[in-house]
Amino acid sequence: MNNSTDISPELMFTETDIGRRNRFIENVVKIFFLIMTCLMILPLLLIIGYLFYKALPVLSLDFLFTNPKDNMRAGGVWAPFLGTIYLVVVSLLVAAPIGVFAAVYLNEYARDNWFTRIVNLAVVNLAGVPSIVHALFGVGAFVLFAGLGESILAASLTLAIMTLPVIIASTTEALKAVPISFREACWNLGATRWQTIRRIVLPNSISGILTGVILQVSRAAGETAPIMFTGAVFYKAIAEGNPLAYNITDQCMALSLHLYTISTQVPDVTEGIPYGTAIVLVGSVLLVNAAAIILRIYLRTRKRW
Amino acid sequence: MKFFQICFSFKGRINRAAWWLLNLPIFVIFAIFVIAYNFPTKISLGFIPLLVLVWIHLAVTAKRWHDKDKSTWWVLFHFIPLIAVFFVMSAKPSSGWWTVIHLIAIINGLWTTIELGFTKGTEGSNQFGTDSETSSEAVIDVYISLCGLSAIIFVFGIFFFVFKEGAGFLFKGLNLWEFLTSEEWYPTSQVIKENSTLGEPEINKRYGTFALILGTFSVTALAMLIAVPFGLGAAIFVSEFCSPKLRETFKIVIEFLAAIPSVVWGFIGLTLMNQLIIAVFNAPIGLTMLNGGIMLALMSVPIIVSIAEDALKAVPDSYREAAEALGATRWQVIYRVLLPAAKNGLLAAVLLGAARSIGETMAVLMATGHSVNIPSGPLSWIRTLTATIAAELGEVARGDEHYQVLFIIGILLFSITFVVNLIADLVIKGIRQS
Repeated sequence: MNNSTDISPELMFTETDIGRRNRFIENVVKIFFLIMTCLMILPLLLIIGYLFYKALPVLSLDFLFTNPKDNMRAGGVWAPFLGTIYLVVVSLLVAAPIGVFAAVYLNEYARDNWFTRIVNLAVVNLAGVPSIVHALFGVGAFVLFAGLGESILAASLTLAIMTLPVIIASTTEALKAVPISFREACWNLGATRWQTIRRIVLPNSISGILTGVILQVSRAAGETAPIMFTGAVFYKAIAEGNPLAYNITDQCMALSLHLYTISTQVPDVTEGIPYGTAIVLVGSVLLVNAAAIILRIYLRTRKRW
Repeated sequence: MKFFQICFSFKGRINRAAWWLLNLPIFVIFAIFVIAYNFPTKISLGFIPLLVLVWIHLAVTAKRWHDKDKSTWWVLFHFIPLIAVFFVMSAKPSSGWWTVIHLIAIINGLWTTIELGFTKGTEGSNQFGTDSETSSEAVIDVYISLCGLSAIIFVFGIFFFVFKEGAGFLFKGLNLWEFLTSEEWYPTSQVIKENSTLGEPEINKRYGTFALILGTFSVTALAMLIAVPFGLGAAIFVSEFCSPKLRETFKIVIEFLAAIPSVVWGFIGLTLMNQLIIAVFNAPIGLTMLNGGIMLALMSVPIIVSIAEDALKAVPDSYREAAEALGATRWQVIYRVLLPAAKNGLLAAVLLGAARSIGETMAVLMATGHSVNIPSGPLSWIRTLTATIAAELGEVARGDEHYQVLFIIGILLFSITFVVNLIADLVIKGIRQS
C-alpha cells in the first residue's frame, strides 16, 4: 500500500487551481498575441480597401493607356507606367546575373576565410544603405562620373545596385537548400565544380532563384528616391500605346515619382487620380509578389527530395 | 591560369569557348556605350574602363592566336580598319575611299571572327603551351569571382562617390561642430543688411543639422516604440502558437506588407492617416511625427517579424521539450526559456528594423510635415535627414556649397546605418558561434 492509492479518482483527474490558472494565462497570452498579429495585418487590408474605394471612379483600362493630361491634373498613367517597366527591366538585366553569380560564389566557391566574411558583410551593408544614399551614389557615379546624364540607364543601374542584395540573399537560400549529397555524387562522377553547378545545383534551385528575381522586380518597381535624381522626371509625354516609346538614354516618368508629384507638388488634381495611381502601383507590385509566392508553393510541392 | 593571366597577360593559350566568353560581354558593353554616348562625339572620364576592356580584348585575342600557333603580332590585324580610317581621314567623306574602308573593315572583321571564334587551335603542345591550358571553365570561375567581389566594390563605390561629391566642402569651409550641433538649417538664406541703404542682400547661409538628426532619431524611436511590441508579439505568435497552415498565411500577409512601396505609405500618411490624426487629436494638421512614426512602424514591422521569427526558430526544440517536461506552460516556456535564449536574434531584429526606419525617405518626406523643428512631442512637425536630401537635391546647382552639404548628410546617413548594420551583423554572428 502506498499513498497514491489513497487519492480518489475524482481528485486525481480534476484540475487543480494552479493548472486552471496556467491554462487561463496560456489562453489569454495566446489571444493577446493573436490580436497583436491581426492588428498588424488589419492595416494591409484597410489600406488596400481604402485606396481601391477612393480610386474606383477613375479606374478603367483607359486610365492605364492614356498619358497624364492638363498639367497632370487629369488623364491616365501610361507614360509613368511604361517608364517603370523600362526601369525595372533594365535594372533586372543588370542585377539578376550579377546577383545570382555572386550568390553562387558565396555558396559554392568561397571558402570560410576572411575574404568571404568581408564579402558577406558587404552584402549585409549594401542591403542596409538608405535608398536616398543610393540616389546620391547614382548621381555621383552614373550621372556625373560616367557621363550617362539623367537617363533610364543611369536610374536603372542605381536601382540594380540597390536591389542586388535581394537577389543575392534569396539565391543563397535557394542554393543552400540543395543537399550537399547531390554535389558529392556529382563530384564523384568526375564532374568539375562548374559542371556540378551547371547540371545539378542550378536546375535544382531554379525555383528559389526565380522567386528572388521576382522579388527584385517588385522592390525596384516601388522605389522612388533612387530614381528621383538619376533619370525619372516629373513630366514627359510619350506616344500612347507604343511600348517602345522610350529610349534608354532618355529620361522617363515613373509611377512612384508620379504618385509623389501629383500628391504633393501639383494643386487641384482630379480627385481619384492619385488614388488610381497608387492602386496601379500597389496592384502591380502585389501581383508580382503573388506570382513569386505561387511559384514558390507550386515548386515546393514538386520537390523530389 | 589565374584571374590576372586570363584577362591581362599576352602569354599562354586559350580555346574558342573561352575567347567567346571573355569577348561577348566586352562587345555588349561597347555596343551599349556606343548607343548611350554616341561614341566618338562625347569623351569623358568614364571611358577609362573602356581602355581596360580594349586591353583585355587584345590580350585574349593574342592568346587565341597563340592557340593557333601564331605569334602575338597577329593581333595587329585588329588595327587594319583603324589604320585605313586614319589614312583616308583627309579624303572627302563621300568619296569612294570610304566604301573601300568599309569593305576592308567588314572583310577583316569577318575573317578574324571566324578564325578566332570558330576554328580549333593546334593539337597538343606548341611553342606557347599545351592545348589544355585554359578551358572555358577557368573563365567562368573568373566571372563568378568577379560577381562575388562586386558587393565589396559597390559598398566602397557608394562611399567613395558620395564622399567625392561632398569632400570639397567637408574639408574646406564646413564647421563640422556647427554642422552636427547647430539647429539652424538655412541653406539658401539671404538677409537684407539693416543699415545698408542699397539693400544689398548679405548671404548668411547656415548648415546646422541638429534638428534634422533629432527629427530622424525621434521619428525612428517612435516607430520602434510601436513596431517592436507588435513585431515581437507577432513573431512569437507565428513561431509558437500557429498551425503550419496559418503560419504560411501570416507569412504571406507579412510579405505583402513588406512589398508596399514607401511612396504609397507616404501617400497613405498624406491622406488617410492625416485625416485620422486631425479627427482623433483635434490637431490643426495631421502631418506630424506621429503620422510618420506610424508609417515607419508599419514598414519596419515585416523586417522585425521575419528576423525575430528566425531567431525563435533557431532555439533548439530540446529547450522547449525540457521546459515542458518540467511542467512549464507555453507562456512560461516563451517567457523563461525562449526569449532569453533568442535575445540576441531579437535584438538584431530590432536593430535592423531601426536601420530601415532611419534610412526611409519617401514616407517621412510626405507624412511628417517637413519643417525644420526641434521636436517637442508626437504632434510636432519634423524633418529628417533623408527627407532633406530628397527635397533639396533637385533644387541646388551642382558643386554649390549647399549641394555638397547634402552629400555630407549622405555620408552621415551612410555611416549611421553602416554602424547599426554592423552591430546587428555582429550580434547575429554571436548567436551562430554559441
